[in-house]
Amino acid sequence: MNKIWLVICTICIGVLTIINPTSVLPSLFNATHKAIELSFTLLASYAIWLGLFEIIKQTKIPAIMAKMLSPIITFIYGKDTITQETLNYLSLSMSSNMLGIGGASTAMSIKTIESMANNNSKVNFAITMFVVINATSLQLLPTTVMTLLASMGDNNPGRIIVPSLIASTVSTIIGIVLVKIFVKKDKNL
Amino acid sequence: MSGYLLPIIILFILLLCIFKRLPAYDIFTKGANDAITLCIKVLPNLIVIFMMIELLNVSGVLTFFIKNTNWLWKFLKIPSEIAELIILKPFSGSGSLAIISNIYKEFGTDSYIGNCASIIMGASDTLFYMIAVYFSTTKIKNTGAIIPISLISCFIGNIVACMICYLI
Repeated sequence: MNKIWLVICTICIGVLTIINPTSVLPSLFNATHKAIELSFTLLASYAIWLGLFEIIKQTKIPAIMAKMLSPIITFIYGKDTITQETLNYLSLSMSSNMLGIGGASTAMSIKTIESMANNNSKVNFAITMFVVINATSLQLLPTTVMTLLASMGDNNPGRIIVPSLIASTVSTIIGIVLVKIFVKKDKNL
Repeated sequence: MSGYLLPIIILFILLLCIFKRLPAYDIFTKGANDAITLCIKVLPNLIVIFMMIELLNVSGVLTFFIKNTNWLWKFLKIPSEIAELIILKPFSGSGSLAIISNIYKEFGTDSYIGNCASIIMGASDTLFYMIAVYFSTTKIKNTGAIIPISLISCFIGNIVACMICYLI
């Protein structure tokens, strides 16, 4: 991330200094402003979902979810790579992701990674697998696009569900396979 | 149908509280408090990643890159409008939404390009933004193989998306 950020920013600012030097600072301010605005939106959604999640945590729902999803999770992540606590977060994050509740799934995903990292400063197998799966997006209903399609006057937004599902399944499977091939499994129990 | 889903889930959670006699107000407040800590940890990462995205857009480096990789897109039979979407998608959700609305307006929602765009949009995620947010509460600095693997898999998924549209 450090390298990518530095390279991209250096190139961009380099180009801007030549073609449009006055736009550098305003665009940086603009970006910061957008980030702060977004963080307020995020705060609102995190507050709701983490609040509800605290309640869920007091019940048996996470354990039930974990039990239901554990065959899939063990299949993908392998045995003994994740703890029970991680498993609980992970299954909640997976289920909210599949239902298309973006806010909830982001909040749960942050918790999952926190618990997977377990205060270490190095990326492990489980984290790599988790982020790759999320990045390749396993959403059952592409709600954002469907809403947009409907708002543009399309009368059959549902037709994209199956193709989207196929495309995202392909990318997720490739991601899982690549992680299994290239990333070493480590036991961090 | 899906409109009922969220209220039902939330209602169910609250009913559980009543049933189990939990101090719902206190617990919820604790969660909301967690959200504030989380947000403060996420904000610096957001600022820095947004700077990169804004610079990419303003400087025109992104469009330059797409124009100069034209041969690749031609070879893969991907229209250049879609190429723009594929490249921008990992960086910015709002940016790719803007592109997709333009595509819909210009080519129609039911066209080949329109369909491609819809499926690509539904089949990948904003990787760099995600990484910035996900790792904000950990000490992890080096994300290892995550970025290359995700980008490759998403890219192949996108090509598959275009192929599906080509067939139907």
